[in-house]
Amino acid sequence: MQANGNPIRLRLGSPALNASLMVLLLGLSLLSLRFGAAPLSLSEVVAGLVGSGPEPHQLIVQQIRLPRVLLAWLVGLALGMSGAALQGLLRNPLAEPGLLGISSSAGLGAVLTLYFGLSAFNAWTLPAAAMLCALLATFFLYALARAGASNLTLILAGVAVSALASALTSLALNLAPNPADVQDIVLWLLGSISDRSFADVRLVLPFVLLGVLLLLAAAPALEVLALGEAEASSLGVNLPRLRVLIILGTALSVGACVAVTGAIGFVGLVVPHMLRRFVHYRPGRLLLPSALGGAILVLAADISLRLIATPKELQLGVVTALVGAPFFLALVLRSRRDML
Amino acid sequence: MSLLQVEALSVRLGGRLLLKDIALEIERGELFGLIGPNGAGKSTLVKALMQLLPYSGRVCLEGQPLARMSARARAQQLAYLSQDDRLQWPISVRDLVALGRHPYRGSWWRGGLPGGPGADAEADRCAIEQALQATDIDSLRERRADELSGGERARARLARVLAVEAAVLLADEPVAALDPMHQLRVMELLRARCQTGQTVVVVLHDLTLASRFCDRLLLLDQGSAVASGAVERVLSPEHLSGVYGVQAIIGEHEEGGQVQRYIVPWSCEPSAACGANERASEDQGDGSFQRGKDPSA
Repeated sequence: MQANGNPIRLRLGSPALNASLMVLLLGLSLLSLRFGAAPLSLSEVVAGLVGSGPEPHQLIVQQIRLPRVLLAWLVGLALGMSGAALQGLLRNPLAEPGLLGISSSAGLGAVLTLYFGLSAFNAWTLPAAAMLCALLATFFLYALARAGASNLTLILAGVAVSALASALTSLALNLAPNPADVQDIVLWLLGSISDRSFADVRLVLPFVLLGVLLLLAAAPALEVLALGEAEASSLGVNLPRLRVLIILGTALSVGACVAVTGAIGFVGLVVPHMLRRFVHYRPGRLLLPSALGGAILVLAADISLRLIATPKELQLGVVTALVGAPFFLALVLRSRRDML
Repeated sequence: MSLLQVEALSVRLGGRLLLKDIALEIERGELFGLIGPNGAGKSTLVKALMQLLPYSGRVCLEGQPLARMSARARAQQLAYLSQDDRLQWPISVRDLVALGRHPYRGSWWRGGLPGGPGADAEADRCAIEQALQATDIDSLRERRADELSGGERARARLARVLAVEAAVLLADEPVAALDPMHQLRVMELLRARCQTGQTVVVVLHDLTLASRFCDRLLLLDQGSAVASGAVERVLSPEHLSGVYGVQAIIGEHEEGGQVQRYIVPWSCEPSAACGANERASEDQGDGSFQRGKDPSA
């Protein structure tokens, strides 16, 4: 009679949903390994992966294309899951690391270390600054939400944080002494996962893993938070702990990703929204599918920009924004009655 | 020993004293009503009992201070239904009710994925089924909670609270937005819970419901306890006019050999709440602007 088995068991999404998303992700990953300056067949890709093919193929697949695929996974996981978690925590379907200015704050941290030449001291300075700025922005927004700010105020505050971070970033660019640096920084800010190496993957991996674990630990409490803070806390939810888990998890994972790939927007908004109905609107169950869906979206966008013939290769952040912004507008129009 | 003991409870928030020196003893199996005008401190008292607000004084459950219990143990003993019935996500009725089992969930760090070791799946399922049946919403279980009518939603939220299987159930105005039929159904349900040994503390505005269903009452006014104890004593005409500022018609209705009282607030006391309004209209009448404009004057 119980279609879903034990109803309080919090599966992290339905197994069928997670499995189909995994299959899709793996399929896209193989596809992504095929495309590039030298297209390879599927068998050549597999041979290159396992190290049995000719050496140039191995080099292309393992050293050039694999880091790109893995970065797409990590960025998508971080953005998708933190979007879903922020929406659950703030009880607002429009929350997202990019829209709320968390990504651009992380970008500012990174640009500042580049500008002041601090990144030369230590390889960790740049990601650390990015994560610190992301943490500050997330905490500021959370404090606003806590003080009872409406959905509209919160989004506007996010826009303001985003604008401030962009303005300071522009200031740094404006005052930058070397025009070549400026172009590098601007391209990097647009968001891209091309020409990245395993060193980048190694840099991002621990933080995304840690962030994802922190966010997953918040899943059961997020479910109960649907009832509002008072009833959730009456059911034994430790609200301060929940907030710390989500703020820290978002800042660590998104901050580290932005440090390596630049800002890639709207993934955290679009993916949870598309998957929510498949998990019966349960905010805790949405986390893992959103992470997988985020990886799929980033990978698909990355493949599409390689397939679309443009005079210059499009940047990933540009593609996600082109798809995401109209989506955001539609979502705002649909929920404007609730917001005002 | 009483089940729930409250001693010298005061709540101060933002420099304002919201509750002053409340003392209370609630017995097992009792349906205890909290009444009083708007802003009297009823919701504040419920929140303080639930440990959702900082307070001074002592609140004990079976002699044990609630403040020293773990959040999880407390959540298994006290269930809370707030006034806020907004649900951010349109989850299904059954998922909503299942949230009441959160206090029994196995901790994730102890092997610990939710629903994993440490959780009793059978006990959870039973509690959820019983709650759905007790509130008569078994047939709505797959419906989305945001698509329910007001009465259905009230019962679904009540089922969520019943699923906790707590010793004490605290409900903040559970009938405020309901039609008379649903008000009676909810109150009958709470009454039935008390007969099964649960203790219910309920905030009510409807004095007839309070008189009919509650065993004892506490009347609050401006943060202080004005009267507490037997229903007839608390709902006296003096208290109604003194605290609520209304003159009420108090009648008696005999049913099954039992005399039930009904209380219908009828008119505002000239000296109390409505006095301000009357003065306001007098001022208008005396205003020169009004008089000059009035052709009949």
